[in-house]
Amino acid sequence: MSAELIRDDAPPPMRREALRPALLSIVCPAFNQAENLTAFHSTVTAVMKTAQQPFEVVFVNDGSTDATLRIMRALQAQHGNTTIVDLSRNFGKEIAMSAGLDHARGEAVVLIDADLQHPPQTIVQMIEGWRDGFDIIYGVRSDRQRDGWLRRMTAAVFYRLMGRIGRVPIPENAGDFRLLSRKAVDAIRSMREHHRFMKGVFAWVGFPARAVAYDVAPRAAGVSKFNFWKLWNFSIEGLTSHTLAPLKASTYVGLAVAFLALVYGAFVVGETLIMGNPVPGYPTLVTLMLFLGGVQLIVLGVMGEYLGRVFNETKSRPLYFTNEVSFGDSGVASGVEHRDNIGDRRQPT
Amino acid sequence: MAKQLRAATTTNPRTEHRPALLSIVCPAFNEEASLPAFVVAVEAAMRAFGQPYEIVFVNDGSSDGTLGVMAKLRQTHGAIAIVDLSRNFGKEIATTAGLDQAKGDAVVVMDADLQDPPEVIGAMIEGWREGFDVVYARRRERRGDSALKRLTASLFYKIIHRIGVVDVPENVGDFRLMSRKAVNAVCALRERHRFMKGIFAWVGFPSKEVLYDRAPRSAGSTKWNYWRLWNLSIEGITSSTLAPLKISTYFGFATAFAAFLAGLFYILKTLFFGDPVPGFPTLVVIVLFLGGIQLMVLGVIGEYLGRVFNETKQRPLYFATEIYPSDTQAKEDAGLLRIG
Repeated sequence: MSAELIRDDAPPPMRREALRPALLSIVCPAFNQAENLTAFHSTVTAVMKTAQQPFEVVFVNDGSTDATLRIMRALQAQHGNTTIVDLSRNFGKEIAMSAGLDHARGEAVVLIDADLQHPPQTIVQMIEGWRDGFDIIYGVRSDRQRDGWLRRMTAAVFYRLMGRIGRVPIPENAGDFRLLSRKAVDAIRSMREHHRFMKGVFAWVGFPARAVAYDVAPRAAGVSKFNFWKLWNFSIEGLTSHTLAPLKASTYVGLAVAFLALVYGAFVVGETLIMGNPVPGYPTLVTLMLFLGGVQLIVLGVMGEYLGRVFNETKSRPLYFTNEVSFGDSGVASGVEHRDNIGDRRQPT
Repeated sequence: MAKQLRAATTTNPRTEHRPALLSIVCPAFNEEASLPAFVVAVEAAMRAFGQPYEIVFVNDGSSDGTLGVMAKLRQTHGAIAIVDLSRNFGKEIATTAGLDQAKGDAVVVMDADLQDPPEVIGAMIEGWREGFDVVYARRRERRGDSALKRLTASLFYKIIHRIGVVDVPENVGDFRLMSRKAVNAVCALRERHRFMKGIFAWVGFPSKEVLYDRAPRSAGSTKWNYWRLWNLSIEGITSSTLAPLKISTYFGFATAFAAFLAGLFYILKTLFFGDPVPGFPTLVVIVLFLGGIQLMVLGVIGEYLGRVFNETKQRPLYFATEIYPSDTQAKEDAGLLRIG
């Protein structure tokens, strides 16, 4: 899987007529970011002014325990174009981002961290991608040099694993920093599952996508809240909410082990019948354990197959998303315009 | 099959001679080479039948120029609608997307590679006029398939036939004509794991079959292989029936029962005759008891899992072919499809 694009072979999309989005929403989830917010807001404002881009900032306060909310309020008092979504407690970054997307009104939406590690200057290139007709323009870190080699290696292994086993590949090194068209935002908003692995969600909705490289700036202030335990949990979350691979793998391992157990059980029985066994009772015990263990694994494997299906159904995702629907000019089809690109509508009864 | 096919005498022949508009839904993944010939063949066939039609192309995230070819065909032939999916979702979902957008009184689902000859649509329209809601095409022979593929396919149908709740007719692909009523029913089933053959069979409605010879591919290469067939079979069996779950539940219960009997046998044997190896009877009885209990618990969990699975699909409870209202209900819209 190439790291560049999700649909890397696909023909380029149609260019948009508008030079820039009528309104750009900048969604910024923040958890204990009091030290960074003011600098972040002034940088974003400066960049947007240079680019002559009308914008709004949507801050999401994810249950911060410091002065984050107070500073957001102060910024809102100074600048009219600021929305604050104050969550009732800490829900985690993935949910906070979704809350921000729900309250963004822009024709395009940028997701960005408050700590200025995502340089706001990159947004200008992202807007260019939007004009070229792409629906998702994601930032790719051009260097991960500041990370330790262990972190870099584990990240590489994770993406390789996801690319190999997932039906929908996830672009490597792409973080949450990205610009989404209104179409893509609506698609993402229609997915309401609770276990949200955002990288997986971004990839699942599809749409023409383009990568934009950016350099990671060192943190402006504060310390990173990242550690290996979090990375591990994040990987597990990603693997299990984005794919059924662990379930499938354990089903097949279980069936294989069950098969071996039954074969070995038959072998022990045969050996005892033909040659006898010096330890009385041993063949009986071994055969019983192998047989019962094998049957249990088979039953578990079948149950796993159904559990996977139930899991996918309970996510209640739409069946598909469309880039565009263009109708022919014959019969009743002509003149009907469908703007809805989300394939979850039930037919009228 | 007899379960699915209602006798022709129960259908009311339609008053119209042909559908006012026939939608031809055609999901395509990397089919740029086949599409122009497909449109020409369909157009010729429709002109011969005098049938107003539209083609609904679904571009399933193709990585070649399929979308460009579709757009060009749409400019030269007016009656083409294009649904461009945001990525590759798979044929079953693509077919559903096409059905969602089809506007016709009747809808034909067919592949772009001309293995489904458009001439057969004439016989299908005739079935529609006779009052059938589903007219599916059955391959007369699987020419061009290897002996192994034919064997595995027939095995698959035999298994589905034996364990399935609804009968999936053999040698029948997605190539079929459906009335508006049947299309609305299929579109009301929104489950994510979609085994279309199972869905088509589940919705029911008076059905008729039409025999045809499957032509070799006109262009491009088949994307078919055994791993795909295996996964499709697993998908088909597990999404349309609970049989594997039921089988393993009963298998587990039977094993547990046998284990308890064997445990009882060892207890009695030791009590009456003693055992030369101290500790052996205890071990055997413990292994049998624990293994048996575990299998029973798994069986019970499996039973509930099956129920949860069926509920999460959120299918309608039933579809009515026709509702004949009483006089008091007469002002209600009789004859429309009601989704239970």
